[in-house]
Amino acid sequence: MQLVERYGLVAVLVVSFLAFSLLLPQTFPTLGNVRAMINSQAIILLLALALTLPLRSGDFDLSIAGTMTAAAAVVAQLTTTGTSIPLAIAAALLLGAAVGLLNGFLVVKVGIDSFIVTLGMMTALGGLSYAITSSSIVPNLPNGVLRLARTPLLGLPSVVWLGWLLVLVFWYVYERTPLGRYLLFIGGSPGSARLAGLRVDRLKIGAFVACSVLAAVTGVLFAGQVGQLDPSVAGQFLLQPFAAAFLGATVITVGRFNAIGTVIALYLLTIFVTGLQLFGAQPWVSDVFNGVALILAVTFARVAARLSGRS
Amino acid sequence: MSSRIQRARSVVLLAGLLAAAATGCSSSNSTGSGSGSSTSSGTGSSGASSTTGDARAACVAAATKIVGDAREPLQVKVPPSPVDMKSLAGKQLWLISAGQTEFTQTVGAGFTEAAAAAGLTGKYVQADGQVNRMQQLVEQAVAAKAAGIALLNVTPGTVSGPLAQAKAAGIKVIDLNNGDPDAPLEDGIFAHVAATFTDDGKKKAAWALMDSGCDLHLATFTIPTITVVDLMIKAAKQQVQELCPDCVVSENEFSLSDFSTKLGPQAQTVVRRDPKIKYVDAAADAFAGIMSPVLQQSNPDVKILGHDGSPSTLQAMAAGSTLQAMTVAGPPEKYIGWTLVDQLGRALTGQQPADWSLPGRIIDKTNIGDGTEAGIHPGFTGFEKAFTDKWGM
Repeated sequence: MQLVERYGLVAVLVVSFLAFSLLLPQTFPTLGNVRAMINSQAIILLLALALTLPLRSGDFDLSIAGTMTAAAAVVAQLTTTGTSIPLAIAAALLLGAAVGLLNGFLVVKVGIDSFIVTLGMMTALGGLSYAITSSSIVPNLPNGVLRLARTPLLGLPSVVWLGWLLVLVFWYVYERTPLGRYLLFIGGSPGSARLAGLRVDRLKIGAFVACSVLAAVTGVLFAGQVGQLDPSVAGQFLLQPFAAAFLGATVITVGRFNAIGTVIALYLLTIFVTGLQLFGAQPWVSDVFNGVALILAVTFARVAARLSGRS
Repeated sequence: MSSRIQRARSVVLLAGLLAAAATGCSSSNSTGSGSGSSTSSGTGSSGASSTTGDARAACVAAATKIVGDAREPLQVKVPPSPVDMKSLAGKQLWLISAGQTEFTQTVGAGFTEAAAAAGLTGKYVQADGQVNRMQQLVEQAVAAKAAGIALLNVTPGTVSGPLAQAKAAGIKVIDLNNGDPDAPLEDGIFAHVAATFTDDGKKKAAWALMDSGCDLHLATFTIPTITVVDLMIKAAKQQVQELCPDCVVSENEFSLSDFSTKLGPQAQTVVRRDPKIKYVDAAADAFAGIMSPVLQQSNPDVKILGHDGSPSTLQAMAAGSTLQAMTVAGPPEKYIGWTLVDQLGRALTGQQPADWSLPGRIIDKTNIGDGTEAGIHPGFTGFEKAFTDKWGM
């Protein structure tokens, strides 16, 4: 039973890949299609991993997509007006750290609900992105920025490898270090964690800062991947990381936000959406699928957390 | 020198923004945040009061001439020369749309119909407005060994990486409505198929000038990040300035991300702030549809200008249930799908691109009729045969 719980989603992923491969032998199981699916999810994977930090410690961060876009806007604007790439990246990361610190301070020290704080921050960062770019698309980013995300290695661009590397790092931190357990403990019961002597406030703020800095790193890579920056893109990158993080909590370490589960969930969603589209399904089917998957993921995560709490 | 100034401005701006973010203060920028900035322009200080009678008459005459010509039914453009589609039998063509609307869906249907009529396989896919999906779809088309790709509202720069793969694989790529028909081609793009956005913007302004007797206070609404919307609005402003230097244009910006909730109230505020504004250029019918119900409550004497001629807009205009008084309607959407297949056929058979510029027709109360496509575009019935004849099918 536990095996089914832990690896059920992995089985669904494998079965769905095989099923679409049988149904669409010419187009689905090709190297090019697999590469396209992986590449398209590289940015979402980075955001989803960042998101697991505050989620694991019991908070939402709706501002990640806004932080990513604002950081990308900083890099795009600065590098196209002559600032050196390292300086532009430093400025973007500084912005990310400032956003995380502010989110953490307002949630932890002032006591405002994280949903409200980060929703407001998301909106403000959306406006900030427009202000930085003068409400225009910033085209023709320098090759140095492009290379950050596009440098190929074994047929896949660097942004994909960075995502996978971070999956391993997050897996190690979450499953093999005290920090990972502390975050989980705080997320489950902050009061008990405080009584146990954990520095709850510091850890929670740290989770927000790490999340926002990683979102800013993702912004830099996003600018490089696309090659230009449209300040209006933030909204496109909000739902999918949440869907992946919540669905990921229903696999491997059930009921807990975890790195391997997140990547499995993300690729499962991609396989379904791509397969359905290649199969000729109406375009609205993918919207329905994404929305229903998110609802089911949250439901399963909640039920799994309750069940593991009982046991 | 200018780059140094720009750089300094960027650094100062960034420092200010970082400080604002760090302290939690909100800051506003005079260039606008994209979610509702507004500036007024025009050489007129107080409307048309200083315009002489002769100048006004000349303005009205010029505007009336433009509008009269633009109200005429569109002539059906047919393929200018034969294309040997039989030599391409069995090849795949992909139409990749940035998002899903009534317009893209119908163009997609026309595209797949036309491909089938030419003995090819047409595939219409859309990216839900997500950049990563746009890139994935171009990569998928490359992986599926498509012969040709048409990009619909997907800016080539957004998918520059996958387009390089397409180019390397010898796949021909065209785009639809990414700018004016004569806009420079971006790397890897064979040709455009495009509405005449700048001309259409001028037609809208001419209509407002004619209708107001060149006593015009016009509010324009644009999304600077969407090239074709901005082209139309800039052209409208230019037309007003050329024909009526004393008329006033109030320029406003809004954002695609929240227009459905914010555009209506924003339009209401702009019109309330300057009661002389009786004309609002909403850029496109979709935006006019958002503004109309709000302005109907507060300013029912305002006339809204749109673009696209979407079926729902034409029906509403015919029924008189909207403040939208005019639109510039392009040719039937299925026809556009056929032009895409023709253009790709030319690319694949080594021909020069055809001039598939798509002018629009002014539709207002004088020629709306019953608002149906057959009534608006009477000459397009059975247009398919003109294509299949030229394709040798």
